[in-house]
Amino acid sequence: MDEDAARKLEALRRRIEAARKAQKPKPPVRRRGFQGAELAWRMIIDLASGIGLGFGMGYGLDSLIGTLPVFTILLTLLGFAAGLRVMKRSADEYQHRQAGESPAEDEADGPSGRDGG
Amino acid sequence: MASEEHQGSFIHPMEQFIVKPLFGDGGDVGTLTITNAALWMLLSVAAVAALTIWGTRGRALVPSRIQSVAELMYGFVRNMVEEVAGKGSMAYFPYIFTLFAFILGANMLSMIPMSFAPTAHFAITVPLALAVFISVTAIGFIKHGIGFLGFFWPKEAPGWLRPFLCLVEIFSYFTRPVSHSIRLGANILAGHAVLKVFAGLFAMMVFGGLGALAVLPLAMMVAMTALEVLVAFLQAYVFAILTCVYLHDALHMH
Repeated sequence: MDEDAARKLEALRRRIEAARKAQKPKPPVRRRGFQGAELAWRMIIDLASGIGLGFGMGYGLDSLIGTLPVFTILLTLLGFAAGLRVMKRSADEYQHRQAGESPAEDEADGPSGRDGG
Repeated sequence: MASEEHQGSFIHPMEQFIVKPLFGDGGDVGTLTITNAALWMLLSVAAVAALTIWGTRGRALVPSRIQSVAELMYGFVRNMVEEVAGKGSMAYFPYIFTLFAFILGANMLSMIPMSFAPTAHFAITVPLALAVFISVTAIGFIKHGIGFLGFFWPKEAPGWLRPFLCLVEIFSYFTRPVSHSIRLGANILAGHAVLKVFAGLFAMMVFGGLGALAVLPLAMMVAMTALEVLVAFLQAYVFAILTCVYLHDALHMH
């Protein structure tokens, strides 16, 4: 009797497991193409805003001190470098995500995994 | 030719972004003037409140449709904060949820014809991005003290490059609020302007006697509207997720 009950329980457990598996929501389908476009768009804005900020700060500084081309050129270049840095970060994040696909990982700085509906 | 130009100009693509006072006879816009921008921001707050407060008033175990939408949104943002911002970030969940919900509400409401898009204005997106920038920087300094400055010191680079790279790091940190606000504002601005351009083209073709060909801009408008709904969601998502990324940097310093 006891053994019978145990067997029944085991069967029930299996059935519940199977039912759960069937009910489990599938991971969301990702729109690869659009996500790529979004990333590219993000990088372009990052780069452009870096250069823009550099140019603006350089030009402002120059017109304050009166050394017109010097800081404009220097800070625009710095802004370009900063923009590249941000771009590289985004690319690293993306690569990380493609390679690992482990969203809970604490090291992974950046938008991991999910791309919502 | 001149008449065509005149007809083409009756839908001006940028006219939709003009901020006007709602009451009075079109006077100046002051600090406390109730403008169309203020109205549509209030409406988006009202929409979010309706969804999250009124929608979940039943507190049913088996949620009603509207309650499950609210729960879905909550769960979605919660997952994002947990995954992206990492440990100890749940304290800032209300802030990120508020940002996401407000931007999503404003973006979606602006898809209603004749409405107004507050998030297309840098006057709205810049304060949002600055608020994130300042609060995240403050969180970094509160959590790590002066050690937060170590975030800008690239330890893995060769020695002689470090000062220069540090400069680049600091600069790229300060470009964050710029790109954060431009991304949202420019996307919404461009989308709505493009929709209006196609609407103007459609009107021009219809009144200019090219009736059958006017199907082309109309089809384009349908496609653009679909894309814009996607962009409206995606930009709210991107704004929120970048906030999470910045928060992660401040909390964990990489």
